[in-house]
Amino acid sequence: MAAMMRRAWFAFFLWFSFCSLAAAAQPANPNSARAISAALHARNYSAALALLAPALRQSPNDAQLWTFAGLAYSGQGQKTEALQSFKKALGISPQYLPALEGAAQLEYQSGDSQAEALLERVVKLVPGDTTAHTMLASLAFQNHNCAEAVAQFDQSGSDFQSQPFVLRSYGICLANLERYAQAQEIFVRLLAQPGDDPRDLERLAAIQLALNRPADALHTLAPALTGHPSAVVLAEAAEACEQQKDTPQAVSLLHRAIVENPADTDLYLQFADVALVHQSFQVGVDMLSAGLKQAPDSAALFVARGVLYVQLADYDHAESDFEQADKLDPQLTISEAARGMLAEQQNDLDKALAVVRGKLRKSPNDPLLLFVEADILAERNPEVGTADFDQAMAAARQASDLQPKTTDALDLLGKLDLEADNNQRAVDESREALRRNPGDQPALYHLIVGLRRTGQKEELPALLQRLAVLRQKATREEAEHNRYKLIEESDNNTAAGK
Amino acid sequence: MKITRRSFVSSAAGALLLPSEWLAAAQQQGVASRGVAPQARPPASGRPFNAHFANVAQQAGLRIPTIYGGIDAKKYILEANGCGCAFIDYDNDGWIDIFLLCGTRLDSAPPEATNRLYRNNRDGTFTDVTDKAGLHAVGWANGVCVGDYNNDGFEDIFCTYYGENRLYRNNGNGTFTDVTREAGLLRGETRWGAGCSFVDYNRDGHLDLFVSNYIRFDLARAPVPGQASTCNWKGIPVNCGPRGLPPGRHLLYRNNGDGTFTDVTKESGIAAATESYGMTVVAADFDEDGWTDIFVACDSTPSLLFMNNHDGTFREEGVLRGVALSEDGMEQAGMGVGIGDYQPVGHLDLFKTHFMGDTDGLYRNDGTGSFDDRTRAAKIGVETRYVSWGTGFADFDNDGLADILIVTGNVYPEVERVLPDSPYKSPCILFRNLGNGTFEELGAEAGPGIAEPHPGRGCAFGDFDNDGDVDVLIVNMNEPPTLLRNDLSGRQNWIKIFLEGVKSNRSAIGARVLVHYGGKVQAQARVSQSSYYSSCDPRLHFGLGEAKTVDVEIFWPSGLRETIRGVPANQLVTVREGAGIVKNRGWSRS
Repeated sequence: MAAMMRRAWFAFFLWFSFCSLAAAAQPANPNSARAISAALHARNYSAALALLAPALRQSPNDAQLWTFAGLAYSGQGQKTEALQSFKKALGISPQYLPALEGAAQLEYQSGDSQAEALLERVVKLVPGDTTAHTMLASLAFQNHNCAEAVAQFDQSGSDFQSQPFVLRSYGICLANLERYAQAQEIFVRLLAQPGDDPRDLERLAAIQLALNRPADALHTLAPALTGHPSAVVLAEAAEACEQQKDTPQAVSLLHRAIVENPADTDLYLQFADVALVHQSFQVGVDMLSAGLKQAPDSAALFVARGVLYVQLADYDHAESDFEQADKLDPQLTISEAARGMLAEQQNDLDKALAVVRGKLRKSPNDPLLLFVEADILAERNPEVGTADFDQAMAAARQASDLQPKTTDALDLLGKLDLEADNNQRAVDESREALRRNPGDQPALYHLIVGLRRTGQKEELPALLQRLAVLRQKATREEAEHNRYKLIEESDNNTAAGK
Repeated sequence: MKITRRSFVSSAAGALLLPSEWLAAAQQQGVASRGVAPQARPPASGRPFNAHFANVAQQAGLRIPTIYGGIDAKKYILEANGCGCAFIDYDNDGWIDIFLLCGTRLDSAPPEATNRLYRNNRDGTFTDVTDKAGLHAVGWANGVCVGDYNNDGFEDIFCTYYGENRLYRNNGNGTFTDVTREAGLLRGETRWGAGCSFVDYNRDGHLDLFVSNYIRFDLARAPVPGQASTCNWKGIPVNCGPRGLPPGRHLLYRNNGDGTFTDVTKESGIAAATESYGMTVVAADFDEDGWTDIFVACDSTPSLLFMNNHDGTFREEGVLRGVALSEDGMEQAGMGVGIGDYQPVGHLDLFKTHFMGDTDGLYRNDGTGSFDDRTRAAKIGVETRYVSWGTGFADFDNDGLADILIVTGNVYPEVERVLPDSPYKSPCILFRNLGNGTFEELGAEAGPGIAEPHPGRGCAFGDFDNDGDVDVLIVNMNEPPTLLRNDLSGRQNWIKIFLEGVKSNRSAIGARVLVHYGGKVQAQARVSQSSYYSSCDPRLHFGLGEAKTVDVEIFWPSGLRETIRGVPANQLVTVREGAGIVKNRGWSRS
């Protein structure tokens, strides 16, 4: 997609630079400049270059002439010479906008890292330059920096909105930033345009699932579900059905998805998720084992199966799977975190700590490992003020800072601070956790305890009510999960039954 | 950049998920358990423990098994929870007798299936007087609470059942009469009565009655093992619930003073509490305002603390006061409750038992009825292996510090065949109080009776042989009971206090007693039920260490505060409300 975007912008930018140059023209020799400009206008680049040679000899420090040369070389496809000419112009006049735009365009086209800096110089000179903002957005998108991309897109006006590939990148980034409602609008518009990327349908359904609108997702997927749907479409439909509490249909669709694309490990993981939620651990293990026959090197499948083995109290197999996952993908910190937690669950806290710290030496800033380290240390029940207690606090705080969206580490901090009688700090941490996740029950409870201890009682009635509501919601959700259990049928299929 | 469904969807699939969430998934079983690892055990204190327990049930004549559901498998939760027991001096001879509840079987009741009353023969043995006393009853009995509801000087018995609860009036001649109907307590419907407690909530001198209900359960329509997600344990099909089954509502009956009761559940505010799987009930004055409050341990739902408004109504404040949930705000499988003063500083603390994979809970009362969870700080969290039931604070070694005993036993006999780490029969847990705010777990060093594995449930604490210590009676599922005789050595002192209400209810239930000794002050409450569905020796036992005399403060339920100074140790004293120590009503010796 990035290359396509660059190609599209290239032609536009050439014209754009030329217009800027015309507007900015302050020629040393007006006659000569007019002739060169006319040649460029007529796309007669060789004539323009012929005129430029004497002019440059006469005025070698004329930024405008060097910019003309850049445009002429660009027109002839001589990008190296063109870039050298633009840079020469910028060496003479660093703020010369046409040269900046020309150089930026060429760097952008070649995917050079200099493009971003040049474009930023452009928007500094012309803050409302929507084209430059769009290009900066595209560069940010290519660099997986959605926050920056969306910020730039938001300053790009509406020019890009007629170009599906650019619009799509905007929509993808909005979704990545969890601005799902806006993302949904964009993909609805993209789908309304005929002959576009068929995967937009899958993307829109994914966004609707994220919005908890399974009926909308199924409606979106409906055209793709007729005939011969892809595994992705089937999996999304399965997710929508599961969200609608129609577990039997979800399981059936997932089966079809796996048959359609047995090599897609995500499908087995999704199945394992359903099995986990519905307490059908052995069925989940069996499906993951089938997945591992297809993808024996999938560390994720081993981790998932290990976790299901934990539920079955089959700790030996769980340990073996976590170890295998770590061998297969030493970069995957979750496997060692899980091993550490498994040892923690078995009350082998020394082993748990050794496993996690071993991995932390290689990945010292991994928030999950840091959280697990903090949790293990807290399980050792260190006295307040001891090195272990302080390290538990430090690791939890670091984990929380590194992963500002999650609340596990903050909850642990709140608990430790309550234990240490740092009640106001626990209050603050609980408030932050609740800001991140308003449904965080431990944080809400810690907040209640902290406020009670610090004599701040005004909020308590409302917080107690909120806790009661949260608990009722959790009970309802649990009841929904408990409606179905997955069972193996005689032909090795799996079904969900009440 | 890839846009995928799993990038957005907050489902639990895949390696994006935290293992903590995966590992927590087991909480979706039928019973709440946090799945926490036990705390690291501190080094042994090395201090001698002078109490030594031996199971003397066989020689004491307690040989008949407590029938309760299937032996090798439990199809329904009805068969699994078991029942309680009571130490009750039903004939006022100064020797506590034994009342054991009993269940039945799903198919048919075997001949042994009845509650049993055993008279204390004053020689370490007991005689079964069930039939003579008129207490033969077959059914799914659960809880027992004891109190003199008609103030005639003889302790009466209330039993909860799956079915209809029963009130037995003590006739004073060694017999009892089932007066459920005439007392207005017959409901005409099947309920799962669970905990119960006599309580004088309106301070009119008559014992009212609080009854918790567990679940609304219909045997004909109940799910069976493996049928739903709440019907398995670590992947093994087991009896279902309580999760997934509709919770019960709790009831308060006001004593009309004429032998009848009126249901005041609604007007008292009890009905306004959230539905919960109610179990053991303990009624005491937690905020020290002179009015009795009610605590209900609840299974897999927040436990309830009903605070007395002094006007015949209650407000439920369990969460606010820190006794409803775990330290992380999660529900636990609250089953048994101990009440005592472990520090001791003169306030009534609570101890609540939970499921395996979870710690039991120790809640320190600051004297205002606000509690702090001190489980970890007190090192109680070192033990998470067993399902815990009956419990209590008792100073077993008379060192002046209340210890904690916990009866354990699994609810799933099927599981240990697959998972040997989850045995059906398990030992008692004894936490001896180290006096610094922490406890130390003892096993066989506290005697062979502690280490004996049984499928235990309710237990009652009391001094059945009147030798100045605390013994323990334990109900075992489909086994004879355990009678742990405390063979205490050493020369530590003690005092027992028996209260006789005058303006207050005759049993003095609801009284709070402070005993001052050796620079300490220890609180105890006279309660009608505690432990697990059980009722303990009405004589409050205080170990005193080296102290030879004590000062006693009694906060009677009527509101009277009575102080008696310089009481010598090593005796039972009977205190009549407003009249001080009653002479010649002391220790009974054979």
